[in-house]
Amino acid sequence: MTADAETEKELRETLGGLLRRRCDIETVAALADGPESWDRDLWRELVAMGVPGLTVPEENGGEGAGFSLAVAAQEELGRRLAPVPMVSVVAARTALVAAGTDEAARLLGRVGSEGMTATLAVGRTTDGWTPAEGVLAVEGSAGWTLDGTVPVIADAPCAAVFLVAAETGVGPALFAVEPQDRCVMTPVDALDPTRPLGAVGLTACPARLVAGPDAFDDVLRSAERAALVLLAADAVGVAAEAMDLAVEYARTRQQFGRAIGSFQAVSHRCANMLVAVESARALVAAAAGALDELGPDTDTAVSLAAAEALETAVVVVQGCLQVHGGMGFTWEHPAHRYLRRAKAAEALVALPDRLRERAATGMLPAA
Amino acid sequence: MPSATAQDTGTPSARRAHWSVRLAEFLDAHAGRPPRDKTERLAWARAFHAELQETGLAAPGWPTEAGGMGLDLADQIAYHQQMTAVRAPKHPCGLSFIVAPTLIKHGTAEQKKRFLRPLLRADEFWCQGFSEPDAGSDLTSLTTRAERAGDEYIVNGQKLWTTMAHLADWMFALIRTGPAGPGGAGISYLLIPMKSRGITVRPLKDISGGTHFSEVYFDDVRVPVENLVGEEHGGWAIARTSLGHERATAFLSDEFRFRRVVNELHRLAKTSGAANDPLVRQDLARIEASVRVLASNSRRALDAVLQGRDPGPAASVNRLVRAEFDQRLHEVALRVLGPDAVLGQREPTAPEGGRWTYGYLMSRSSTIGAGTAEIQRNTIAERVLGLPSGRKQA
Repeated sequence: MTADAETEKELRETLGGLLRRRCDIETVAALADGPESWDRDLWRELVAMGVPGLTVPEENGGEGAGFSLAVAAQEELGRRLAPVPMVSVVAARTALVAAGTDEAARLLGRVGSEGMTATLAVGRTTDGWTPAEGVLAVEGSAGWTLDGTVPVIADAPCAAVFLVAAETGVGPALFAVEPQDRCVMTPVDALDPTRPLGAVGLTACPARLVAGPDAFDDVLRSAERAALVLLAADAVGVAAEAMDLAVEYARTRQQFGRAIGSFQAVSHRCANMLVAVESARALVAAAAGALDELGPDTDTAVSLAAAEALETAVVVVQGCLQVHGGMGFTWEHPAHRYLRRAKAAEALVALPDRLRERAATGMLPAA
Repeated sequence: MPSATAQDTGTPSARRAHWSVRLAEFLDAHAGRPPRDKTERLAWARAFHAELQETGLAAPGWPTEAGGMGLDLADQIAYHQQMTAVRAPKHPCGLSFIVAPTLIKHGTAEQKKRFLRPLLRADEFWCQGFSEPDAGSDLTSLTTRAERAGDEYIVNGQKLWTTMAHLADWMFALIRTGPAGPGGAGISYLLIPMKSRGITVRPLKDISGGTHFSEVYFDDVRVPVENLVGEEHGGWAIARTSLGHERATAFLSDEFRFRRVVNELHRLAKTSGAANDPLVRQDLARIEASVRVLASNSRRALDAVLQGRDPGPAASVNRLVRAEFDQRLHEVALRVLGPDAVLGQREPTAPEGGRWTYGYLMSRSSTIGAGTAEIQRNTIAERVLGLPSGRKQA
């Protein structure tokens, strides 16, 4: 085993152990059905372990371990449906590292040392992130202020800082704002309660410039890539656990005097799940590697991995539900919680078919 | 490493440079455009591999004592890349590399000495005698039998789907020598000379109209007992070992071939204009994802084999992914051809010599030969996922 493989195995075991103790399905269900759906205490433990900083360079207060390790951690979090804002925080930290401004460095310090949560408030399309529509930034004598509404922000209810993509008049830029009476967060009912959503209304809200119009596109793309790869890793974990649930049920559930897993209609469905999970995991590992060593193929690798993994999670969880028959349709059974996480993830950043379109652009030779 | 001398036993990269330089020189001198004529092309490929073996540059993954190069994983990958890049001719008898690992692992010293060199040089061709009319997916029910008579076996029965039978000098065959039982009991692994009296080869036309395989009939065929590999009745376990090797190592060269074919498909899509069609672009992106998955899985599988571990799920999964990928690739290729997909492979105006329509027809065997996709899924379900078997227990 290589040193990297050894480190990954240790991380998976440590994190897997923590999650088995702290994040079983009953805990997730109780939180999801309660008033505050995210798990602050678990987040603190993850911060103490350094998980949210795995991808952040050491000079920016992170662990400097790279995406290759971060995707392994995220897969474990996905497997347990961990209700923590990891994807959003890693995307935000990636944006801050890419921005490289003093303000970004100051925020990175707080996110790193205090475990402060942050999320991006951006415009959402089927094809990825854009500047938030109708949010305007104005520079006055006392600095920047923002006006407008961002209707759907991932992990907004857990965020201590919003990175808002707003229009300045000379191009979009990224600003930092904090919840206060001029920045009001309203929870939004989410298909997947383990990744809570919120709207933010900004009224002449004081904001600090994180990345100007020149850097904006690169910063947003970096953050989006990070979000896609972590979301894809999360999806692999969701799919892997759903597969295990389906296989276990197929092994034990008896009908017609035999285990239903002995019928090929069921066993082949399970075999397809394994093929899909292994394939998605391989692509996600490759995409993480491509993010750690940026190159001309990075965007294609990320798009392909995200398309495959996000779709795989939906297909595998739907299959898991089917294998469980009527049980899978009940509120009590956890299948719907996996289905919600998988289906919502597909639409969170960019849809699989749009990602494939991006990949096609990257991989087809120029005309 | 056959030609490694004292001064280049240093770092792995020094050793790699050593053989790769020699291979580059060899390829400069020997690769080139294949002859158009089929018979000449075969002779050309045979000559290439004979000289490759002569130069000590054949069988990168075999141990040196078996006449291979004993290269490690990184070097094997580099080797295959180097061969693929110049389109060096493939060994004209791929089946040889199914029998070879079995001989290396289970053959007697005499058998290795007799068979491995001519096999590598493509001086002798091999065919595989496993399937029978009533033993396809259910291979252990095979009935072609051998009776012991002194120092000979007398073989009677019939094999089917025998690729290369009309060209092969030898058949490695699974033959019933004892009563059937669980776990492939009573089956022996025999090496049968194809020139033997009593063997009849009847070519079988396949889906493309070509003759890639045959029926082989055995009528009191006498085979010397020294042609038994492993123990009598112990052939089933050996055959599975050989399949394991096939799965793990054959992927490696396929990986580069698939990459090349996908790139060729991209070019076809560009020239035909299909690359601008959003639906085709979706298909091409899915194909791209698959070819990358194959590359990643085959490395994992090969890595495991080289470390002496079972290739495990990666190999079973890859076999299925590869089979279905090959079909999907050709389905997409015909979509890319668009209106030209109506043209038969012999029509002179068919794009790229009709290779895609021909490939489409041939790719239908990908999910049938050497274990159907259904059997592959059974294997994954039972051996990897631990689901109960649906078959009647013997």
